[in-house]
Amino acid sequence: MTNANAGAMDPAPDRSEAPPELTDGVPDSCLVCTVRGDWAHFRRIDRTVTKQTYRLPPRTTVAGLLAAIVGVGRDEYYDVFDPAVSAVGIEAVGDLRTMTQPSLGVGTNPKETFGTVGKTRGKGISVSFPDTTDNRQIHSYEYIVDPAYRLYIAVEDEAFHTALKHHLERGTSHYPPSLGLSELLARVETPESGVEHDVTAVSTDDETVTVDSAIPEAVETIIPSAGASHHVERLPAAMEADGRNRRTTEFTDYAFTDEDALKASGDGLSLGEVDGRTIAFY
Amino acid sequence: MTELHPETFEEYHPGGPISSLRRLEVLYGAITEAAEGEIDSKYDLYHTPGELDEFVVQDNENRYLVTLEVDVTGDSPELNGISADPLQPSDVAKLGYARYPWGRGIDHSITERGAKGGWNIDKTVRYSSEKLEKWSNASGKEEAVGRVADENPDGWVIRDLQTLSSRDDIADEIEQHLRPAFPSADSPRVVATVAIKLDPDSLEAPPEGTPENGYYYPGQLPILNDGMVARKNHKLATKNVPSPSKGEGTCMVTGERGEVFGTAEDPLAFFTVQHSEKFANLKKVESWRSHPVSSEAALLLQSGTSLVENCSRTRDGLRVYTLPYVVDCDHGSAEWLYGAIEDADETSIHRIQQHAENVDESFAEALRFYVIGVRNDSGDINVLHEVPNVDIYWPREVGKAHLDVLESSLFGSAAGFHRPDPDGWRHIAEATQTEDVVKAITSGRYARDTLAFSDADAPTSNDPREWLVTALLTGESVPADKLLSQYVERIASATNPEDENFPTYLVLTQYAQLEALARADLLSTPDDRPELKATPRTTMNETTGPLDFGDSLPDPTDLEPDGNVKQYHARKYRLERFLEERDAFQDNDERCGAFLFGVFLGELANHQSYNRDMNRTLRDQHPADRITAERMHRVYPDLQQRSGVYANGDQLFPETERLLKDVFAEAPPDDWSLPVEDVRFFYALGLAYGSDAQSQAKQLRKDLGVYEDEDESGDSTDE
Repeated sequence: MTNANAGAMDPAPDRSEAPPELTDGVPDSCLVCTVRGDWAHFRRIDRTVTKQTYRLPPRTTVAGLLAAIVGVGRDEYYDVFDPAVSAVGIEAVGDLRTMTQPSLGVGTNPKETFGTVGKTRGKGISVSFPDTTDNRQIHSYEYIVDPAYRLYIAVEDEAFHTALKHHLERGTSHYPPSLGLSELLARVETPESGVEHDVTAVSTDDETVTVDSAIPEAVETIIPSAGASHHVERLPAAMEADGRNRRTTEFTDYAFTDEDALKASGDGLSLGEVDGRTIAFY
Repeated sequence: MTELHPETFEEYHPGGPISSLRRLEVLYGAITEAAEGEIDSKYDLYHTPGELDEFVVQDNENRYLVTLEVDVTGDSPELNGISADPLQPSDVAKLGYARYPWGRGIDHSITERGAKGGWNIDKTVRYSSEKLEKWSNASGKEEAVGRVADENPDGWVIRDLQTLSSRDDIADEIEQHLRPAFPSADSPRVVATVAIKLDPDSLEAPPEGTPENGYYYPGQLPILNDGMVARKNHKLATKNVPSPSKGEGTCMVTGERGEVFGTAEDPLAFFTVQHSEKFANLKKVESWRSHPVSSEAALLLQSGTSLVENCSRTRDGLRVYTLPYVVDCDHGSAEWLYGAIEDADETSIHRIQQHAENVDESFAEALRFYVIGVRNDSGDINVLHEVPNVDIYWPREVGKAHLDVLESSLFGSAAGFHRPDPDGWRHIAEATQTEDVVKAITSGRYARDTLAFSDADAPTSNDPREWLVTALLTGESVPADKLLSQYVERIASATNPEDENFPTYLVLTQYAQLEALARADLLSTPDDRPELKATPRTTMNETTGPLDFGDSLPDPTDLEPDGNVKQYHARKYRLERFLEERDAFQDNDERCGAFLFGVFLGELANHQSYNRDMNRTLRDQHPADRITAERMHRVYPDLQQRSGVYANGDQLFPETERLLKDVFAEAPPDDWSLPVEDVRFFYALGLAYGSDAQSQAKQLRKDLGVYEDEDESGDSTDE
């Protein structure tokens, strides 16, 4: 597939920026922005019948959202977000409350509510499509209310980094960024202090650390405190292109909360300090 | 305690934290497999011997193993005979049974389980011959088994079965053999299988174990097991899809890379491929990309299904799963969990938690519950709540707070209400203990007993009672107005217009719950009415002012300086103190007005019914769910007038009437801004208080030792 958007990647193609470099999963700098919306729905991959949402956007969803801002086509940005060459920190800044709302949808069961036009035999093109004249089906969708997440992004890919930085600075985006479903548009906010921030690696030697972001990969290191609950979700973390399709290559457990920051023994975490906040990168 | 085989558990438990429902279900699968013992063969995970538990001989019930004895030693396969013997538990292992659990369709193994309702001889014949034909792919519909027949060096055994099953007269032949052997005209539970006589040396993969009269059972023959495995694996990729949905990917459960399948069954049926909008190009066969499950994880999910079901029960059409686990589960913890689930009649949080606390405090602290409430309206599945990590902390906090309320001046003769007998309303009864409340909270009763019923005709995905259940499990704060409006709705449905009983204990339970939530700091209130979540000023431990001593008794001179305490004094003291102790009334004249109006009306209604034998009292005319500030304003003069008439120109309840008059003067009801649910609930509480006023005042006098058996006719004005 050719990239129809070649050239769309950076609003100022001549500009170049030094991308961050990763050491043990911790970058030396990162881009910071906050995505916010009225609703979000990040479908739980183990379900199709019940339309439930994760509380935290999966890393793959974050990658897709950023790729939309930059204007990279589907299936063309997975390498950029390979955990070996990128690091993402996700911090829930909204209160993660969810609400279930019924909504009507067009059926997509090929046997029941699909129409077909075109040739049915011999050579020719036939097109199958959901039959929009049929009765709608009612399904209850679970949404996160007033979602807001602060993202800390470091990609070693220079072109992507430069383009993303530029878009964030100018407040532009190539495709409209959304929170899980196309109709749940996201607003992107950037810190007044600038988009790009230094990251100072935090040593993780057998100390208790307070981590402001969601904590990936080290659920068992969380130090619980009575009455303060936290969420744990197993989320898709990385994808790769596969022919004209894609597949998930990694799943990661994230622990997070919308209450006081979690404490963890730093074991196995890639921690960096950004503007006084401790972020776990993955 | 049932022991879990350590190596088996080690082999199947994927390790790592329980971070998703699927991982928990797989843990349950590993536990189930380990409970069945050692891994005998590579087919173990595929076999489901436990599914035959209800088909082995028990007591005197007739349950049979019907065995078709097939001889493949000659030039062509022959059916030599059929035996029908009681199925002994020791026979199960050799049958190689693998169940196909979802409704229609034959089992994965050639061994077939009959209906639980039993099979008569005709059915046994029909199913046996059909099974032989279908399973061996003689009918061409089991391509996976067909491939094994064609490609496996020992495939000729299956091909011989094809040949046999294709004979025109096979059904008649089976019947002729079976009729003399079949036990009776009844319909016993039947397991049908095929035993094969062959020369072990003729097979590449030799049979295991010893033959019976030269016959090997399916579990002993690798070729038949291979056929079963092929069929079962095929289903993992082809359930409801035309071509196999599988590929190279990363298993969402184990995280391991390898062959993954797209149509693995979900024990709770939350995943099906019918919802194809989730797949690439709307194609079901692409489901493995977004729903990748390895075969081992898929099989363990199936193995764990019955244990998951053991942890569920139904309440009001809602299926609630309460799955105990520890985040980092080792063999010891797994064994404990299995024992606890097996022992419990129902796996209630409270029961299992208590059990754990008796055993090991640190284990009890690590114990968590994955709680899901699922409503399934003929396939339309909604999850009403899902809390992956319930622990006992919040239920305990609320339970303790509730007990504090029960021991506060809300109850008792000094200011509050009468507590019902142990047989009465359970959450506020005399005998109620913290653990009773914790139990009620974790089982959902505590919320379900006070909130409105959901509309049975239109079940929605948002049952308000389940919302409160969740909040109590998680410590999420509860909006006060939402709670009050639910309370009022429940009061309305508990008030029968034909029946003059007012649901006093319901209202009391609701109010006790409200105060308990406030004490546990779980109540959130609107900014303009923060007083709703203020906890009552007194507790048992703080006794400072004259009106300030919990539920301990006052001195008679506190009620009347000369100590000559009459009914009026007791009523006055009680009511003033009840108001005094609560910011909800002190800091909000409108709410105080609504409450006092309820008290006054309740007292009058009580008088009407006991002293005047009236059937339809004022309380029946002004039910809580229909009262408004405007209506209070309109009805108020009428109440005053009635009181005057009943008391011959005097006042029947002067203490109430004076307080009410003062507060209405301060905040006239036609000018209130208090939300209607707030008005209605506290009016209802007033009704309850008013109805009890006389008897509780009398009780106070008795408790103070100043009650004389006097003439009760003038009880209301005996100043």
